[in-house]
Amino acid sequence: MMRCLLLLVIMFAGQALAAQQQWTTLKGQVVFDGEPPVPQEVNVVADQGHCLEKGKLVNETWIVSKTTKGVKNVFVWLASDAATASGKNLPVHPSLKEPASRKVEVDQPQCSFVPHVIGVREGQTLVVKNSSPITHNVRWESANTLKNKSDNQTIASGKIIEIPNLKQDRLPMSVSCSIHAWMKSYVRIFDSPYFAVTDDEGRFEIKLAPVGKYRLFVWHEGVGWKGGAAGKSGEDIDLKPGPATDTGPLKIKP
Amino acid sequence: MAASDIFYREQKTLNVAFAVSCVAMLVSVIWMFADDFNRPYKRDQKVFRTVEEELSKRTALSLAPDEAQQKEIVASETAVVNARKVVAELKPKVLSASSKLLPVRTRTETELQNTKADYDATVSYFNIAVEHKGPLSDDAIRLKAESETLLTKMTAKRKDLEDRLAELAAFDDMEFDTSAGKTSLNAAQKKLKDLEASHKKVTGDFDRFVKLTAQKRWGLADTFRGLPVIDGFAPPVMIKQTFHDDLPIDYGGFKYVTRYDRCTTCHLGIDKPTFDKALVAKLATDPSKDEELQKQFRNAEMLLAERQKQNSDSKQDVNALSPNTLRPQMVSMSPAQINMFATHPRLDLFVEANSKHPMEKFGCSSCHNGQGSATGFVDATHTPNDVPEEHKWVKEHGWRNIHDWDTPMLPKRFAEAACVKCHHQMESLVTEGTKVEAPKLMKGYNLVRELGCFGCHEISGVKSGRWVGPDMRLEPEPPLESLTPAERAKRLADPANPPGNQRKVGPSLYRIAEKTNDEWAAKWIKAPRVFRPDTKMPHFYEQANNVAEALPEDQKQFPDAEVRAMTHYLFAKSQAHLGAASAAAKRTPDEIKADEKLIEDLTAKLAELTDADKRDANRKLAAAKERLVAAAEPRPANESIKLPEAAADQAEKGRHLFATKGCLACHKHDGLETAGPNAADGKPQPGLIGETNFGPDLTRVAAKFNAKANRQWMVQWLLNPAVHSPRTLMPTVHLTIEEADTIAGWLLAQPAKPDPTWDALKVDKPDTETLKSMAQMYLRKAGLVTREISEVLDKGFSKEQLSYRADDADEQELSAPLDDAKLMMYIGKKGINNLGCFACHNIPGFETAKPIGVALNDWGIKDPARIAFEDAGNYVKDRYHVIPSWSKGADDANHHGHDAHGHAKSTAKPLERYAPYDTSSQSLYEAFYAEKLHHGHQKREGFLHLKLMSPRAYDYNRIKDWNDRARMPQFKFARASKGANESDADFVRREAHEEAEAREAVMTFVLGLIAEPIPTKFVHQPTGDRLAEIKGHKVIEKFNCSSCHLFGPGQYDLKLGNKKLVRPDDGSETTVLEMLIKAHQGFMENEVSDPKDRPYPEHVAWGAKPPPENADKLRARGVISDLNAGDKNIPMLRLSEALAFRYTDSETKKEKVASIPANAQGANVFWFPEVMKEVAPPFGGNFALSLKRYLTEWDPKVYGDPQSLNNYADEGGQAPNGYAAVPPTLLHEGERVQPDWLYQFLLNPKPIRKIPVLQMPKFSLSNEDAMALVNYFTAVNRLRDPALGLAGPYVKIEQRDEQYLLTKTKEYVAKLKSNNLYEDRVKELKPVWAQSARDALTAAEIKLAGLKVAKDEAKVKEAETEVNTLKSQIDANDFPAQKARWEEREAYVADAWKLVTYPGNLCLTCHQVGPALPNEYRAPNLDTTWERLRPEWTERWISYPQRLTPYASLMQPQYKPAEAKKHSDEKVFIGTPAEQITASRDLLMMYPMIADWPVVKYRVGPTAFGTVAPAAAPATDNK
Repeated sequence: MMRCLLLLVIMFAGQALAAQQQWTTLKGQVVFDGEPPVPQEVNVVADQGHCLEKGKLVNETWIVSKTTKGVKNVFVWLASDAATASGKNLPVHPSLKEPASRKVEVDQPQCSFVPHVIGVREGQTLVVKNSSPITHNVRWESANTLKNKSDNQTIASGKIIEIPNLKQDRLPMSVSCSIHAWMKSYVRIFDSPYFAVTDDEGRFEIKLAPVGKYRLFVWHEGVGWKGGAAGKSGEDIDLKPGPATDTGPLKIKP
Repeated sequence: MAASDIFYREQKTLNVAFAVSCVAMLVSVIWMFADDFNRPYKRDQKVFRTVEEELSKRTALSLAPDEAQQKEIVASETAVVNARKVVAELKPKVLSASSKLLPVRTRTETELQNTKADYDATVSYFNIAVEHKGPLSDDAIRLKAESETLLTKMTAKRKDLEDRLAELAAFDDMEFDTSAGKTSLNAAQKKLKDLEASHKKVTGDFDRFVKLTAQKRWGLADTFRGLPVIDGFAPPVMIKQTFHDDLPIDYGGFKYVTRYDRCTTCHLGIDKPTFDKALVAKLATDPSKDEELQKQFRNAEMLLAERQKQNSDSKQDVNALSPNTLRPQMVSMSPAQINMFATHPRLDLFVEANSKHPMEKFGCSSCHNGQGSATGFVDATHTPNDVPEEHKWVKEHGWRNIHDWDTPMLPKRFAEAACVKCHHQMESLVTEGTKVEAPKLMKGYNLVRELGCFGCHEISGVKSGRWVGPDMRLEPEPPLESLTPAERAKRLADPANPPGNQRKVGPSLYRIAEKTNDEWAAKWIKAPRVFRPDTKMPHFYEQANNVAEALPEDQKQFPDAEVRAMTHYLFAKSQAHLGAASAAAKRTPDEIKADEKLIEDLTAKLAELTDADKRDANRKLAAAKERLVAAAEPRPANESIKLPEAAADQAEKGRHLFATKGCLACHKHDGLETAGPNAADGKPQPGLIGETNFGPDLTRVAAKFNAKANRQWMVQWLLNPAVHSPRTLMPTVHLTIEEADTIAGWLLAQPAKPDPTWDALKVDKPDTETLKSMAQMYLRKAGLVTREISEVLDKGFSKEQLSYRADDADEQELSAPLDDAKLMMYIGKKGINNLGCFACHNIPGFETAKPIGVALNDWGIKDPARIAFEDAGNYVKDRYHVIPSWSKGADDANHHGHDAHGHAKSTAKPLERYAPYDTSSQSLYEAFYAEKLHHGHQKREGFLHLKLMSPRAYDYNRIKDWNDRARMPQFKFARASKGANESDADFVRREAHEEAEAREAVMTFVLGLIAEPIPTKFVHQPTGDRLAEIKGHKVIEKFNCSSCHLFGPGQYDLKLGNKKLVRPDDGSETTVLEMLIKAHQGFMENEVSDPKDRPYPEHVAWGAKPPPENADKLRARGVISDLNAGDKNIPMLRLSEALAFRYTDSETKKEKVASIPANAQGANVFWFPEVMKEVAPPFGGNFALSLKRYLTEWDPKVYGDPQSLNNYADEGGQAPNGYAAVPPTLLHEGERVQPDWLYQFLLNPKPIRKIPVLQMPKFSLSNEDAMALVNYFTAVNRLRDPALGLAGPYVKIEQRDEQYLLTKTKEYVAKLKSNNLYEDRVKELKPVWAQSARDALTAAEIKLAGLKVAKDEAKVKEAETEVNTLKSQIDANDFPAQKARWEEREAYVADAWKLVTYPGNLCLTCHQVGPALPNEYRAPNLDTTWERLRPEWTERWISYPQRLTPYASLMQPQYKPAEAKKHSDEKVFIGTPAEQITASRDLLMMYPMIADWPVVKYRVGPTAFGTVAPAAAPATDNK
């Protein structure tokens, strides 16, 4: 009898808590402030045969939509801690408790990394593939070697390597290839599910985000933190109850 | 006097006198005995016994089990006692059970004995019978039969006895009822033994020290043995001594007496490591206040009490001890006694039997000096270290100066001076690359070396043909290198006078005129430190004896006049020299030939000439020779250097070039100390602080120059310093003329900070009167009388007068008609001669001048009676403020306005201006030295100190001629710079103190020069690798190589123990051992793909020897570097050698040995200064690190660490590691490069890599210097890593053997066949062979055509056959000859070549290999590997470069044992990764041999191996 009662109390308490915490969607767009740079052609010095098979390669740092000036490949995320950009203490929606997949893949089909930047959640393993006919090597450099190690491994055609045990860090890991020096990618590791990478139009959407006052972080490889050094600790964001909160255009420039 | 009965004195009185004197004598005899008996050392030894007892007591207490263990121990103790009881119970039972058998056994035993006796007797009778009657006699036969019967009987009896014994033994195994149940005696005894053993393991150490404590206790027996007379047998206190027949004491050079050292009579703990001074000192404190100790005592008390209870009947001494035995007591000891009992502070180096200087061999007084045979404090000539100590000693010990002993004990401050006695090679005091064992002495030696003291004061090291000290002499002029081989050999072969090896420390002044102007030079000579505070040039003027205040009225003009005259001389000579070089360059070949002919003719004729003619001929000869020499001289800068047009952004470029071309490795420049504003192109201009003061500070260099010609000179200097100063240590840094001009431009554009002192400095131009009065003085010295002098000063010497004087006489300058310039030349030359400027500079006209100072070879034992102290004592008293010592009371004395002796502070100041210490208010002088100048107490230390501090003070209150005055200049020894937060007053005081310390260091070295001919076996004579290390070290110091390169890792002692430390990464608590375990685990985790990363376990970078068990510290070798941890940098010890340690595994509880390899990823060994002691800092490389920081700031995209991508994006290409752009570390240089190559490289360096911003400069190394360096590297690596078996100086490269190639190829072909790939390869190579055949065909056809024209029928036919063969081969696509050659010689190389140059392989990303070009030139061209690198190292490097460099390497490891089983790509090469590495290495080592082979030559470029096949994976394929 007592046990039943206790159970009931717990259930009610749980419901009450669930009722307290509301969820919403965070939306927005990152746009380029000013005239976007013209993409530079990459000087391909090795394996021209394969790399240039399907046309010229361009530097992927700035992929800006011609119509909306939206910037692709920008990391946007919610965090609870301004100093470490960590979202460890954010309330997490029950459906997002576990990552949807255990693995995040990045491939190098044509002498560039696809996708160009990758967000990884703690607990996920980064899988680096090489579906091209040539050999690549993957050199990943952690900004804080106490959290994640740096290494350099060759990856032959058709092979994969796995990088497990990644830990959240305020700074991204850079991934590059020594043979094809223009190949470059950035990997960010998060400790909450509330992060996004902007699409072709610079848009992003973070679903089932907790309502409340938190910090919003924006980082792009060509800029670093939005707003320079001041952006290192993010900016305030107030997520209101309702279907969606829109940040409006977030402007960045190098 | 006749005999009579009359007494001369009254009998009674005599009786009384006799009685009294008898009593007095008796008393005095007893007194004598008592006094002799009660020697002070006995008291000390008795106290020492107490100390010993107390120390072992404390050790026992520290080992006493704590409460937790207490129970366990008591339990095991009880078990032992019980087991003992059981045994005791059993013994009577067994005895009673077996008692019936015992008589039987005894009887049997007796019977056996009887029978045996009978048998022996019979045998003996038999022997007698044989001897007397022969073996066949009746007696003999009978006795033999008898003995056989007895033998049978005896055997039976013996068996009987054995049976009885077995029966008895059975009782030992018979079980009886006991208090511990049914058991047998054997079982009980075994159990007891086991229990005792395990009990001993727990408390054995404790018991041992308890026993020792009991033994050391002073007992009644000791008192008895120490009684008079009885103490002649085995006294508990006695004199202890060592004696040294082969290291005798020199009694003033006429008698050598065996050395007896009785120091250990009082210094009883000197060789005992447990008598640590802190521990001994602790004994003198009250133990009741020590909580920890009391707790330990309670534990011990409990245990002992428990034991007593259990062992009340036992006789075991330890167990019977009363608990009170261990009660800690306070030992009453004076601080002096604590000092006396303490162990030697450097037991690892001295005293201890296994150290380098064991007491048995060296004794004490051979290093410390003093009267070793004395047993009293005063008689042993202990010497106080400063005046306060002296006063204390006088009060406490009645100390006084013992004048009768020639070599009193060295005071602590000069203790290191004794090392020089045996260590003639000073660098031998540096052990393992970086650890300086005698730092003060080395500092002094280095100062003497750097400041060039030996230029005036020869330190020859040789006395009557024996080496007695360090050898510091100027090198011969001209230097050995410029002599012909025959002359060199001759100089080197002279054992009595071997050539010196020190270069003059100043620049050559032959070409000074094109460098600067005479105005600047005059001011410089007068006060160099005013212009450049850290210059090595000393002050000759404004000294105690030539400052205006000290000079008589008529000489006040003399100093300035002399300076001007010397400047005039230098510039005039220099201009003449440059003019000759300029003129010589314009001479026609005919003129030169004419000169040569003239020399030839004159030399032939010389012998026949009369004396007068000969002189003339000689002059002509000399002039001709001079012209020829001048022709070889480089032309003046204004003729040879054409300045380029200056670029617009020159200033910023110049600054950057100055920073990056390595200038700051030796120089300083204020303009670079702080970051400048961003340059025009937006680049930052970071700061870069010069690392050393090896070269001059260049901050104010612009102020020296004022003409365009000076800029030309500077460009010339930067391009090749040897033009101006052939023996300079400045190297040629490979600049283009534009770069040199840019740097010169920037340097000259730096505004010199206005310095009022320098600007106000004036050197008056002399008037004729002053010049004449000076000349008069010199002429008088030259022997002229007053009349002649006035005549000469009026008109000059006539030609005839001069012809009576020698050609090189100074008076030749004064030829008629006389003018001021001639007088200046004369006085200038006299001045230079007098002051000895040529000791440091090469000066025209002084090529053969001899050193002017006193030789210092044996100055350390110079008799004070032979030193002229003059009135120096008063100078110090009048002009300085005497302080008791630097450590105490320097400030107090200042405040109270009294000096150390209570005299009122003197208000006068030292006479010198610009002294290297503060003279503005109170110039401090240590009483220790001041006392040694006083009349009656004069000591050589006192003289030397003032000589170095105020060298001209010895002329104080003396009347002397201008040119007879003391002439030693005043040096500055320390180079203190003001700290950021330091007040002026603090800095002045610190500077004075540092100057005093440096001065004392120089004194330590000089006092060590005693030229004592030590027996050869005691002289430190390093051999083999150690000698090579020392010689190399000298060269490294000489050229300052260690500024750029890291030569050796730092050494750090990690103290193990329970101290909790906070980890800087996550804030958790840890001990050193836990951190090491975690680092080890980090390494294992990170190497997960490669769990057995031990391809070279013998190599120091991979494997380390486990430390001894119970070691309390570990010695780690590496560098401290910052680990980039996001926002902060964490200092980390980056190991350059593997570190092994022991720990207990938490799961299995077993002890394990684990190791962390060098530079292992994830293995973070954090730096905790509180438990990590720096034993020695890393040897060199500071500039490289500074430059790396500079470059990172200057262009982070190119030179930053790959990690620091905080706020910028990297566009195309990746940031190379900045470490690749700076001078490389040389930690493994010996095992890395081939000695031949290194030798050539050092003498003639060429660029190897393209990333570095600067190139190895070319130093003026002699062949010997280069060879010493090469041997140094091999030797150091061999010493550190003996398992390598490093060969040197000659290295065999196996890969160059034909046989090696053939064997490898044979093996490889077999492998191809067994893998069914033979035909594949043949198919693959056919196009190559076809092309080769086509080329051969073309060549053959051309040859044939030629032969046809020549109509050589036979050969035409031959050629035709060749052409046809080739044609048919090409048509058939079959090449048997090439295939055969491939199979025999080329198969291995062909595939190795493929392995290295295959598209997609990593090698060609950065390296060029012959015709195969890289994506990007970032690494050395591999064509030169075969002559540059050692094969073993190349293999190790390819396998795992990270292990071999202390900073991140750009290259990635190729060794992946995880894939060793099967390799996927046999199309490229068959073999495991290890075999692939070997094959790549072999290919590189054979390169010149194979470069022309078709399989190499025709397979270059993207399509060399056909279309790129999928799954093409060379050596570094991954799982």
